[in-house]
Amino acid sequence: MEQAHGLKINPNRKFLRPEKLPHFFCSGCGCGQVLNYYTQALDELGMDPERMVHIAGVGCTARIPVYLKTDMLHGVHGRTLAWATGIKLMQPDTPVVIFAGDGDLASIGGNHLIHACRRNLDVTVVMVNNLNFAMTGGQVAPTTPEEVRTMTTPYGNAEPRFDICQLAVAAGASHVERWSTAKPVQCRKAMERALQHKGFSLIEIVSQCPTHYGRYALGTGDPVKVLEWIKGNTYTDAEAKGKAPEELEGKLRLGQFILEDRPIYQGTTSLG
Amino acid sequence: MAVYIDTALCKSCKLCISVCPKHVFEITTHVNAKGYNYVEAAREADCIFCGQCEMTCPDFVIHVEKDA
Repeated sequence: MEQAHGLKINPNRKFLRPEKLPHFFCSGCGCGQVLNYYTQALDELGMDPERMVHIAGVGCTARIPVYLKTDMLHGVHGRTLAWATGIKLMQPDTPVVIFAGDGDLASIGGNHLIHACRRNLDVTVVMVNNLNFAMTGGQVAPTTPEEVRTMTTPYGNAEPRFDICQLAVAAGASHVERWSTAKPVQCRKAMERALQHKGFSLIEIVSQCPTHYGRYALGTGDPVKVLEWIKGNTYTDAEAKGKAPEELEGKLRLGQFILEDRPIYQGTTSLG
Repeated sequence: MAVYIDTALCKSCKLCISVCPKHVFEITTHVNAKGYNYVEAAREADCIFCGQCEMTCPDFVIHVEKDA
């Protein structure tokens, strides 16, 4: 792919709206990386976003589909899954992908999430977990680790955090994976599996927020240092081998939690 | 040329510098229209075409292609 003045550019930019670039995300934000991984997955599968529907609520993550050449809904905070249910019942063959942040999906839209999991609604949810409410200034979220300083917890977060992947598995989702932005290939492959899966897919991506989480919790605004912190506080099954359980306490497990085929939700009644 | 950089989109996050195994990139003192010191391929001849920078870049700035 080439620009007008002959500079070769990333071929995956064919999925993006050129007039919208450069995008709104802060320098080094994980949301931009998730957008990059998602376009790689689309390219790999040969899917056309113009034949898909993307839904986003409110938050930094909710800006991701704005840059895609696609039909998108962008509106009420946390109600993305309610809209997805309506679209999926009306047009069962249209692929629906939801981008939501941790504040959007785990806090405000938590109730929609557990019931979409229970019904096994045939949608793909990409949850970008940046560990706080970033767009409103770095307030504490249900996914913020314990004892971490944020804007609204200046003496440290006293509440235990929420493990969304385990919640989704318990609620009945049929495909759940968690990766971090430090693992590009795994993120892309997880998204490919999710787009091909028939049933509810939840991909949680632990991402860096240098502007707010980095500043309040870690005392640095450098995206590279925040990403290093994420690498140190997550582990894959291979990395966990030979380590004592105390070493892994308080860290997030990366990997696949569940992948199975189950009947999907197609409405409450089978009568025409 | 092997490493193509769309300097207008660069936000100077330095993630490409952190992932490059051959230390190809360097932040310049030049400034783009948005006020960021953009990145340049200072040691382009060292590039091994692993593509990690292109995969990682949050801003779709970098494209790596082996010339025919």
